Amino acid sequence: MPTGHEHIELRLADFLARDLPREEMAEIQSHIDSCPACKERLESLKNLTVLLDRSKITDVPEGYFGTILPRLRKSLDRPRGNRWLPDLRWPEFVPPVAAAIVIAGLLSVLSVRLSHDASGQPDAVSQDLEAEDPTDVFFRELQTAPLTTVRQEDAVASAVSGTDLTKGMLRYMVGETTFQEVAPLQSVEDLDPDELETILARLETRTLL
Amino acid sequence: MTDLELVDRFQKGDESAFNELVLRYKEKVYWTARRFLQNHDDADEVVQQSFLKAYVGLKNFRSDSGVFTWLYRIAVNTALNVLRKQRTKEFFRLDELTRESSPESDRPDEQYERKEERALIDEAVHQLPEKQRAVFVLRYYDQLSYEEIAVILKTSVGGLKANYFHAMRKIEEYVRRAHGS
Ligand SMILES: [Zn+2]
Repeated sequence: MPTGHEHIELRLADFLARDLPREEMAEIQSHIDSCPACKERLESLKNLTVLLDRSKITDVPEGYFGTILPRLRKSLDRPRGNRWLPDLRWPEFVPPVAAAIVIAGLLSVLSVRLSHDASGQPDAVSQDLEAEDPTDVFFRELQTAPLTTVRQEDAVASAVSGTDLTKGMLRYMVGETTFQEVAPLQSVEDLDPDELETILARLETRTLL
Repeated sequence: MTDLELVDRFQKGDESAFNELVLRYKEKVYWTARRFLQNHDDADEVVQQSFLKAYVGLKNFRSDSGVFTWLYRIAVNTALNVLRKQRTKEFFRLDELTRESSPESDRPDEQYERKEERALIDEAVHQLPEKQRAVFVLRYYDQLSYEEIAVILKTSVGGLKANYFHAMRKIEEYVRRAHGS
């Protein structure tokens, strides 16, 4: 297949949305007129956009938008200290964080290993944005904390075998092989206390490292 | 009044200028979060959190890219965090999937097929890696330019085009497989 096709294909969705410079629109149009393969791709994409538009979410609870600002003002008028970290007592907080470090460590090693196959640049999404948010600061620090390393993916899988934490699920978590995909485990503090307890109970019975 | 004028007034202590910004962008932020996270409650959480963060950040806001882009960036980041929370829950099987598989199932006037279609698209989007998912939502639904998206996601335009292409492709393939052809 000539490279011209890929070059065209990449822009077909924008062509369909008529969101390209005039010359590019013309270039693609003339390619399509003479290329059955790309014409078929375009048709197929057209069908998809019809489906996407038809199934677009438009339902919102009645009166919802009117509630946004009043609720926001209510939070803003609360004392500053409670705004970001609702009631974190250290004795409860420490074990989850320890667990988070262990898991994040395991999976980051895993993701680094897997990311050798992945092309493309590192994901810049969601870094360094809200410096004022103590949660973010805390977890950024956690990210760079020294971690015990795990030599290979199999070690992780075997450490957690016989549980729901199967190799397949680990792979799912790191599916795209970026650290971003692994990051949920650094937000363990977002889970409810009961959920945390369940996780910790599962982890407790296993030697991870 | 422009966004920047509102920011300026807010920085000088006018709270109502912040309110005006919220009113201006609440729906946009909501829909982006909703399409990204596929359920109302999570989207609502993103809206609240994003504007709280914006409130704090605006005090020191200096614009290179505009209030709107900056706000979008906060919203996308916040939505990503919520997505990770969703995935953590899925990962540990602590929760049923939080996304809505058929959000309007109690609406009698919607045809069965339409609900099926919606569920299918939700699933297709759900399986996208998060960056493709973000690009897809920002490009397809919000119809932002690649240049705007590049600012929001701090990434290159070239990479974004590929992300968008792959996202559309994967959704298409998912739908095709579901239809068994
Ligand atoms: Zn062609």
